[in-house]
Amino acid sequence: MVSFNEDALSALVVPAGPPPWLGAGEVTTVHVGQSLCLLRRPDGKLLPLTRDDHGLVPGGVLIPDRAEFAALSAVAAGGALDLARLRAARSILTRDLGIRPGALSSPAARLALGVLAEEPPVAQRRLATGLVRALAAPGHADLDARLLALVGAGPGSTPTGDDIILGVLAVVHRSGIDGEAALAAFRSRLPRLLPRTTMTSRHLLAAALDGVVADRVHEVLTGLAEVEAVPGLLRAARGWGATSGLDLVAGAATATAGGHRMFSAGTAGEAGEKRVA
Amino acid sequence: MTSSPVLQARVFPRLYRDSVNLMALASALEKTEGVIRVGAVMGTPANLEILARSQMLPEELAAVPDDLVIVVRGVDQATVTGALGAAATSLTEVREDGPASRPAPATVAEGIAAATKAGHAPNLAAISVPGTYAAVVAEQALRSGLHVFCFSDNMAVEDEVRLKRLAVADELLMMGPDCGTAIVDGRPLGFANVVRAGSVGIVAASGTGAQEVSCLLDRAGAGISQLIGVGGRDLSAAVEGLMTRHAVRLLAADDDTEVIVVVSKPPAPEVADRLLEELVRAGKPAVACLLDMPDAEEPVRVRGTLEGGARAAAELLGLSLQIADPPITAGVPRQVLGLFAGGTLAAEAKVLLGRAGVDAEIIDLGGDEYTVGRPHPMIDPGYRTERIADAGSRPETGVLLLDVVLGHAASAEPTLPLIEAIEAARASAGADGRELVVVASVCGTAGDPQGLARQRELLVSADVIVCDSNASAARTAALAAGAAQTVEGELR
Amino acid sequence: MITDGLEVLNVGLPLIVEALDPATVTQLDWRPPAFGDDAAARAALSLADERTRAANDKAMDAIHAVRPQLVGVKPATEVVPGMAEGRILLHAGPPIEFERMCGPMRGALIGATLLEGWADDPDGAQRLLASGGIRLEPCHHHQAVGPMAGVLAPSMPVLVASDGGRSAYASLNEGLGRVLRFGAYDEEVVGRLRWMREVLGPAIDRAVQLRGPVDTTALFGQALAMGDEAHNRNVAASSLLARRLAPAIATLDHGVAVLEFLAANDHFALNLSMAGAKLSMDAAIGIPDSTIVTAMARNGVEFGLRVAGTGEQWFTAPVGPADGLFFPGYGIEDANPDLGDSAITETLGVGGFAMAASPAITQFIGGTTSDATATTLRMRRITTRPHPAFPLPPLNFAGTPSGIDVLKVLDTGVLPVINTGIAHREAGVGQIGAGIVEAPPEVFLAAVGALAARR
Repeated sequence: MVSFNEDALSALVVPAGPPPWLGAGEVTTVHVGQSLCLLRRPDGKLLPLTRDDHGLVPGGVLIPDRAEFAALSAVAAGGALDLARLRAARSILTRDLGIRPGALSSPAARLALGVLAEEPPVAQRRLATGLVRALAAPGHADLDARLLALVGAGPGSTPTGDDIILGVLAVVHRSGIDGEAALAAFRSRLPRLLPRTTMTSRHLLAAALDGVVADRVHEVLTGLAEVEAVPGLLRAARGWGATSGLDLVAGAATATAGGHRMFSAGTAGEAGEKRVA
Repeated sequence: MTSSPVLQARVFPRLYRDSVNLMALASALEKTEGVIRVGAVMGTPANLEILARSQMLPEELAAVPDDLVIVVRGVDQATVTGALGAAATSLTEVREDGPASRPAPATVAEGIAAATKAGHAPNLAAISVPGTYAAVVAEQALRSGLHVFCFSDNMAVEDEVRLKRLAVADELLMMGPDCGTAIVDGRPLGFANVVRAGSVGIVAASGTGAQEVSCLLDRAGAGISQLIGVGGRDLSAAVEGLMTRHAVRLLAADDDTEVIVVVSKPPAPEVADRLLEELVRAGKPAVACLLDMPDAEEPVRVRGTLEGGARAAAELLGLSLQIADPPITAGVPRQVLGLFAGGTLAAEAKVLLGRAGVDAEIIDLGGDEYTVGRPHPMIDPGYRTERIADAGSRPETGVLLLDVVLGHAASAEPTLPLIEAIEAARASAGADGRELVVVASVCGTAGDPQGLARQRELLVSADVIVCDSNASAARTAALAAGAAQTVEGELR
Repeated sequence: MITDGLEVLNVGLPLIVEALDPATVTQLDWRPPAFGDDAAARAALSLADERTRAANDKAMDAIHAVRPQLVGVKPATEVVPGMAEGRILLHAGPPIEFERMCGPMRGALIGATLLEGWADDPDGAQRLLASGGIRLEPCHHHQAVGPMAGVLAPSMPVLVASDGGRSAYASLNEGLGRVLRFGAYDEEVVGRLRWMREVLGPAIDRAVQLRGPVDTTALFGQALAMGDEAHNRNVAASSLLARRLAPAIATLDHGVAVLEFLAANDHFALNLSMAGAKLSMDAAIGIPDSTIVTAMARNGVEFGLRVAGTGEQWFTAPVGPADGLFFPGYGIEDANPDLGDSAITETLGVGGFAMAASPAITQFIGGTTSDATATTLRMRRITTRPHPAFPLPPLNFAGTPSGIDVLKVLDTGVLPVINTGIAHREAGVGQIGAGIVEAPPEVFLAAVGALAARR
């Protein structure tokens, strides 16, 4: 019924650009989890291997076949993963993890925020509003303090505050030209704060500054593009990490709902909808 | 005299743990008697500050962002020490049990020993290794007192008979070989749908047959008590229905089961007789859903389609199965091409299209000749999508008939690749000035991970005619391919 | 309900059980049993019953009850069965004809022929051997064992290890370099052999008579706690033995020369370890239905296996060279295929099986110290009991894994490892390295067929 004697991986998915194993040398295994196997390259960069339910992450490799993922994880757990196995996969697909400008829906965002308000409170999520306001304020006066309060803050191995920043950043990129000032503000202030958080968050935030985000974050952006998609998005996001999924949604939804105020250079568009390009 | 609360922390350097595990750990610790509050966070400056603000930061705690910090405030030192110790054990236990430090058990004996030591002594072995070895593993499992779920096929029939006799003698289940679906005590094994718990016990010599019947029962409001797969060859003359009859006896004695349904392709005649006798002896309302056999009411209800079988079983519970064939205009006579992932669904379609007298080519892409060196279409749609796209270039094909099977173990996103292929097929057909009608059914429930509604919507959005059962899809395809409009009930 | 809560052992694809609570699933790291040989897997399954378990218990009781004592050193012709008369030379490994023998073994036989005076020069010795003028038989058939070429001649002195009415024998270890057991046969080698016959042997015998029998189990048990593994690292045992006998040797003529010889030979105790292991394992030969391995031995061309339930029958398969660390200038292309009876130490449970106690061995055979521990732990999966007399301190004094079970080898796919020296393929060059070999799977496949046929 299924083929048993496969040594080569049947397929894998990598982000567009140079493959993550290029120049990687020998990797060490940081963590082996259910849907994520975290490797570290000698140059310090992370190389996450993920399962189909986790989705592709920046700098990572997605192994769609669960049996193959399990087998690779087991090898990595023994500390002996040879990246040549990835290179030798029979089919290597690329997926562009870059964010392109696109539509976002304020009503969808407000719906999501309404549902989140009913969830058990997670302290850092309140701070999302402050962050978005700071981005809307002239000169971004308060922004440093807001970021300082969020980076590395909260529960989880990717702390909540970081997921909120990721969500906001994703929306900034999604807003294209309108988000340029906000993006510049992030780029000038966030990098120096990155040592204040875990290596996984650093990895994801650094990529997000360049507009490259994980499949899951793309799912959040898609889910916030129309009201009908919100329930499905929330249901899926609830299952990501302990609070990670809903934290991402909180950040992105707050930024979307506050969007027309957030982007000081923004045009109004139709009431309730912000459409770009 | 009460002692004042004690605050203490432990730092685990560069320890990475899934957030879910951390949350569970913190939560478990907080429930411990005498524990006031627990913090389980990464040692980032922001988190240390948050701890400090809630008076949860011991003096002189040093941590870097990649360290895991566990802080406990408790009523006395003993409690705090105990809680931190428990946390350390739980965190490092996970590490030691990881594949890195202890090699996973490799044999049945080692597996039983390891699992028993961990407090989870196994009572069932799930086997999906190559067929010839499956017999050895199954025997080891049965001899150790485990039920067996055997997904592997290509086992010699002599082995199957010997193993099933051994199982029956020891009151154990030998589900398989070639068994893809089971639900034991509400727990799904292999390809199974998320169905409501209830009082219908199914014994199935067919995987997708069981899936379709269980989904239709769920649709009618009924539920499943047990779904016992017996493997595709159980009701052959060689195996004589050994396991089917054993399962029927088991369900007869099971308090949770009110109605017994057997699902299979037609058994050998003498085997069918013994089966019906066993069902009568069971003393409970029963339906024998034996594909293509003529309907009968005595000695036991027999139905020749999966839809009919599900309907009869639902009626025994006073429920009705509502299936409305979509209204479509009869088309000009042309060929139906069926590209199926489910074997029994293909067989049901073949029967119904044959009865309708329509020119049809029905292909079970899960069959042996298509799965050598390829994953099964229910796991990976790749080959099926190729065949669908090619269908557009076949001038004789006017109607494409598909099944989409949801549930555990099936592809997480079964429909999107099919839609792309359908669009490609329509494009090539259209370039030739031909129309391609696409009919499909989705075997699934609202509870399935892929989402029944979403899958149906995706198909509808691609102009596919979506039917509520496989039988309905076959009837609809027949009409679209020019079958004569018949008196209601005849095609059924 | 069918169960009291479903708990699953998953053998194969994780996909099948993905809907279950992972806490209730134990995943096997499964691979085909019996090295992929389906018939052998079924034969093994047919033997996996109470009858075999009881027989193996009996075998292990017998093996572990043996307490070999070094009671003396005598000329082989006086004590080794079948060596009293006629021209006979014993060799390591399963039976093999002179024409098929490897270089080092032929060289050793030539040296032994010269020692006995049956020929005047090497060419004459070669002709005599090739003509069949000398009976050539395995040491194992005469209750003896020999390292590397393992050649034993009637006039050679042998260690006598006894317990109750039974004895086992092994030659005296010559030391390293150009020695008989690596196939050298020049005047230096034969001269040393004469000295050992005339001086060393009698001296050690006299010392044992004066000091009393040496309990080898206690000796090697102590050595294992000092970093030896009783096959390739023997410096502690050799030192303990020398210290035990030295006061007596010091009183003898040539005592100083003998002491200097012992002081320079780190592997002197190896042959005693082998004789003791041989005596222990032979206690299980012929116990019906037992699947315990009683001997592993190599003759430089074939690997031989004996199993308790099939008595004296050999199961053989071609053997290749060991891979490991080579001395500078040498590589695997120079290596002789695996050679020697010293795998009797692993058969008992020391040597490679006790590597956890001897992490320093990795300096010679390669690998890391955690590999050494991992190897011992892996050998637990194919053995029956820990040996109560050989505790391994780094493993909390757990006894070394003992009693290789053919059925467990086939079920797990784990092969016994042997720490071994590597000889140059040309006679007389000597040792060129050390490494780890695994017993070949074919011998276990053959053995299970024979065991099943006896039922």
